Amino acid sequence: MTSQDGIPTDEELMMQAAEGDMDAFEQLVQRHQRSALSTARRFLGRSALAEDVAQEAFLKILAGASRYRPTARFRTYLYNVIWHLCVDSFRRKRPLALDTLALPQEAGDAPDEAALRGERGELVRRAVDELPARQRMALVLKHFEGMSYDEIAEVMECSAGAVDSLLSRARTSLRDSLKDLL
Amino acid sequence: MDCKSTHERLSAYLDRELPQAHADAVEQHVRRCARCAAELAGLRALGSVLTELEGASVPDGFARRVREAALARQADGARRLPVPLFGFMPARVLVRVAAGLIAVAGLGAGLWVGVSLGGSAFEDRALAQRDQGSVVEEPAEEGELEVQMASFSVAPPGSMAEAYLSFVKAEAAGGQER
Repeated sequence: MTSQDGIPTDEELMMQAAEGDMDAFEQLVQRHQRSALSTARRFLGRSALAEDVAQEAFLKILAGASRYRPTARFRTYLYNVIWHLCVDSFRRKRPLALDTLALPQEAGDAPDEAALRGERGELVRRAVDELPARQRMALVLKHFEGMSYDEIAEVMECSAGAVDSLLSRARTSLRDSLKDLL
Repeated sequence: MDCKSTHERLSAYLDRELPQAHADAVEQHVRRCARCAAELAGLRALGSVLTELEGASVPDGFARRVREAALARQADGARRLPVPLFGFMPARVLVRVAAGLIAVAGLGAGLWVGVSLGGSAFEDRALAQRDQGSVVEEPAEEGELEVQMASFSVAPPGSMAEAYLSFVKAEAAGGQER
């Protein structure tokens, strides 16, 4: 991959970071910090934890920079690391299977109280929190990061068919949970 | 395409992930099936509602903090590494290798000294006892694994074996203190 208009590609920045160029590393962080933070936030539902995960993802990427080979897009690599860190965060809190695990809700109002207050975002948050981890991550990557099934499959280390299934099930669950908003 | 097949493909159709032929078939079915059309509309509405799932704003100085954390982690990692000598072998490894060589040399020297002294001493004693008419201890019968190295049980003063035993005792004492 070559840079266009003098702007280095992600892969070029990674190669430079691997050689100790911290300016290149910081540039990479600046390019992807928003999507990394948002993905972690939408998945985990906690801002502080999301910031920890996003930071740790970049640190792990830098630590492994010497072994990085641009066989996949950098973004795919970044999200794969975020996915694994999110799973680790899950397991530390509740060691259940990823297909059944849902995050415990943050302390706050019960769903009916939230509905009375008309907080649509809170309802959506709670509904998404009830999704198993794999369905949730597939949904976040598809809806908010605009990834294709193949890309999501690469991030989550599964098949495109599995991604299709995860999204179908997630949408079916959410449609039931959020029917009052639809 | 029937309702069941259409239903299975609606999610992928919405995501534009279906092969063109399948996408065309879904569209044709949805045009004439109100139930599947309603299902598709529901999925589209869900997509709109999901936009309310809050993302994250970037905290001030996030990239700078990540960089500082990376530098701190690299510095911490460098501090924990042993100081290399001769460009390839860490000092503590070198010390252990040297200690091992001394130990082997000590064992070897002690063995040589013990055998040379012990062997001739045994013979002299045997001859003396023979001359005096006493019974000399029979050597081990064939097949029995009995090594007579009496002179090796105590390291002669000033020998390498004594140095090795002193070293081992000092190491053991130091380990217990830790």
